[in-house]
Amino acid sequence: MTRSLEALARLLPGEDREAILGDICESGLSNLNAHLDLSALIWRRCLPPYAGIRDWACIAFAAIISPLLVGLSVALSAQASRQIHAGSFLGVVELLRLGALLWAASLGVGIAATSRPRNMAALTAIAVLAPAIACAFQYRGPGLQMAFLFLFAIPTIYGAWIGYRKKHHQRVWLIATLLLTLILGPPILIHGYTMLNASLLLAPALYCWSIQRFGARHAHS
Amino acid sequence: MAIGEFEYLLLAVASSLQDEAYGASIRKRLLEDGQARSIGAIHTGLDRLEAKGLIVTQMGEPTAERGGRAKRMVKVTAAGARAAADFYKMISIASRDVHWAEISR
Repeated sequence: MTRSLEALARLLPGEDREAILGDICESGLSNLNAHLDLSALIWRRCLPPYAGIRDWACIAFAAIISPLLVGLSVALSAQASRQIHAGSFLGVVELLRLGALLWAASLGVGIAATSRPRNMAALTAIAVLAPAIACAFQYRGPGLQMAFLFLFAIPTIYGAWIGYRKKHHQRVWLIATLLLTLILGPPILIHGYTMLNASLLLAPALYCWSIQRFGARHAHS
Repeated sequence: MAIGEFEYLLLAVASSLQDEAYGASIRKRLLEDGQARSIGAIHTGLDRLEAKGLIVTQMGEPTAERGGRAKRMVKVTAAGARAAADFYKMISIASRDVHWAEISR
């Protein structure tokens, strides 16, 4: 019995480990076959929580939207900074900020509606935060600018929280999201915002789809 | 309760081995019968049968040939025996007039 086999078997619960390692020993399997057998068993045991297409769809949803939210966080922060210096405030930018908050929270609610609580929560969190962390490493800057990268994380976590707690007012949320998209769509596309941020207009559509497809059973069941 | 082919095999072998039914002995018997299965597959099948209440398992005594490790002893429950009997009956009835029944004898 090799050390690597025993180390691999540590992924199994105590009694199972004992019985399976004993069976491998008694069967006289070759080292390679023993490793393959044990790996296959661990894979089968670990797979069920990760087998749902819904969970992977949720992670894909988070991975698509979160880089866009990072971009929007930074763009809005820069815009706010310029306005503060110029002493002027535009209504559209304020609305954009509200829209960004709502879309980020929608991402959280979408995650809560799409994925089962607890399962894959860590992977989803990584998918949401990875773009911001990658940007933070790529573009090292003053602390405050780094914080802007993670601005969207707060409403996203809030959205996920109310989604899991089933405190999400679906109809009000839906109307507000669509209304803001209708109001903000043209200015986003016309006023020099990047296509990356403009593509955030897809967020409400993805949110609506996930709520309609999965929300009835999860966010509101 | 409906069972599949592999579950039936496990129930049949575990039942015939009686007090000597555990992972390695089941694998050995299946191998002798021309049904090679991995230890992982056997334990996964046993987990499934236990979850369905068709077998019960308990840890047995450790032995030297197993490197001092205990066995996971398997016992077929009454529900397991019923499920296996139903499966056997279904296969027997369905195979009544098939021409390969003669070939396999």
